[in-house]
Amino acid sequence: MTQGRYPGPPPTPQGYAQPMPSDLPKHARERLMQMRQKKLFTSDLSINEFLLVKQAGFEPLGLVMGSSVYQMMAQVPQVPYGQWGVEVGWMSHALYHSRELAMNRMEEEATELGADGIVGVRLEVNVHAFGQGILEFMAVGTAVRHADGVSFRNAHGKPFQSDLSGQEFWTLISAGYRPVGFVMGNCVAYVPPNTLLATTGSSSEGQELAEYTHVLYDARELAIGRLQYEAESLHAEGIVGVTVTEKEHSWGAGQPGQGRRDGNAAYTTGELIELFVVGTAVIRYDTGKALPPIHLAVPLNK
Amino acid sequence: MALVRRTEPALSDLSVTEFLVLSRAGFLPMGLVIGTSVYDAGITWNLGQTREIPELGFAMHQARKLAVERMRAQAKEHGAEGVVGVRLQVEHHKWRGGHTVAKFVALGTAISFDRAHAPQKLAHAPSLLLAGQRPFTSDLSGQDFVTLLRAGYRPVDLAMGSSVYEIDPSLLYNYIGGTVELIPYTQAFFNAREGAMDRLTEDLHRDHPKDGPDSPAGIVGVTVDERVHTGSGFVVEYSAIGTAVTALAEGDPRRHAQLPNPTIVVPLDR
Repeated sequence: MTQGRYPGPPPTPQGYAQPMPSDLPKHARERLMQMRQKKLFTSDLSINEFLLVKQAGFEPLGLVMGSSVYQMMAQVPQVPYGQWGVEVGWMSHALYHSRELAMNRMEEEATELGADGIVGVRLEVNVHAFGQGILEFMAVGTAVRHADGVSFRNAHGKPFQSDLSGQEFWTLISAGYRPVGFVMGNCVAYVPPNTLLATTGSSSEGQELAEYTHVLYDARELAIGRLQYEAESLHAEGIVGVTVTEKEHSWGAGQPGQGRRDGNAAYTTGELIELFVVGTAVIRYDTGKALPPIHLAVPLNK
Repeated sequence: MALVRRTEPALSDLSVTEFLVLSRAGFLPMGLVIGTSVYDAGITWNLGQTREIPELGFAMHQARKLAVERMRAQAKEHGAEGVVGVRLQVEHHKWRGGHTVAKFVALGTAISFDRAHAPQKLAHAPSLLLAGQRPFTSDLSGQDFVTLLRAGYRPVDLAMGSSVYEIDPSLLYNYIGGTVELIPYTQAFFNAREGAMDRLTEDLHRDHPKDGPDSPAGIVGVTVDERVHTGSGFVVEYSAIGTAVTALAEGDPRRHAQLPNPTIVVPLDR
């Protein structure tokens, strides 16, 4: 599969036409100022998470968020002769950029609060009804600071981000590891109709669609490669909690209803899929710590 | 010291575990408490602009508060110290000839400390009632409530905030065919969400002043809900809700009870 205009390094907002507005919205500034003055925190952590984050030596500072509304115009790319699929580089780029904008804004809010990091980050996609191809990416998490003033910022001097829950965060810290960043990679692949229909043997038997498999495999590997690149730039030791998802968002590669007699539009227009991987990059910061002993328990909370 | 006494069985929507965990910590359910409010927010003018609609946001907030206050009044009647597991249900906003009508139901279980049956050293623990003998409200589960107490905190009040924004769809014409960030929309959504978060603390600071006995230390379990109203035009409502908590009173024997150091367990439930 041909890679799109999207080499190893993840795209940066600088490379894009729209500069990222570094000013947060009015209400955001007001809220953050107030939180700093009144010393009242807000957080979407559950009680158990809140207490465990405190137990791990961190103070929750406040709920932080960022979002970006993005218009994505899906276009079916030209598939080079002899290939079974192609990466749509500019779409990979756009989807990455939109998430990055949301995460940067969340990070800005956290920096404003003087945070060391953000735990429980959730990256959500909202599809709004008011226009076609419009997505909103939203990042939400709880900003935390180390209670003893030890800096837990990452290699870029920024607050770390992690999608770990309070429980996972406590376990990680108790074992001598700490998160350094929420890392992600993506790849939007276009699979033309002939790949979806390509079969080698008799069509009356079940068989693997080898070319289709290959395209998806390739796209997934590209996405994971980009995830690893991000983690390396943070000098991470590893990535935990990696999830790989296939997303179709809402675009579709063509108009529905033009399909073959079985009504599957993908057979005439092909498929446009985003492979998206995320995880939390971690490093070992205290070799003296080890995981506390593990007990067996029967939970009664059902 | 008033003895908790009931002449009839108390209703509750607690699960078995919640009930057991609460009673072990000395708390008993006093009854299921409900508060409702139907609110007419009047006619909203659709201006076709990207702007906040303060009247609507205010109405949504007011309706929620009314429902919660009625629930609290019921809890007080039951002689409860507070309400746990509050759920706020919204019956969908209906448009009645241009009027926005919203129905809210707040539902939870009123609980009280049973001094007669509590462990000896907790028998003189002060009540968790707020200033003015008002029961506390919270959306915590029974387990969460007990864990919170064990860590030296108590719930104060549900914290709520709403904000309603109108979004101008015609701005989209500026972006036809492009793959770009729609900055005005980003700003509008961002502001709406932040507005809801902002108001979360507004009432709280007024109801529980900073130097008062119930001055909150923080809000936990915040969730931000998005609801799109599709009447005429494009109206989006954000509502944030969480539970404000504060440290236990000076004389409370539970105050210095540290949360035991957690141990790692392998659950055997699967």
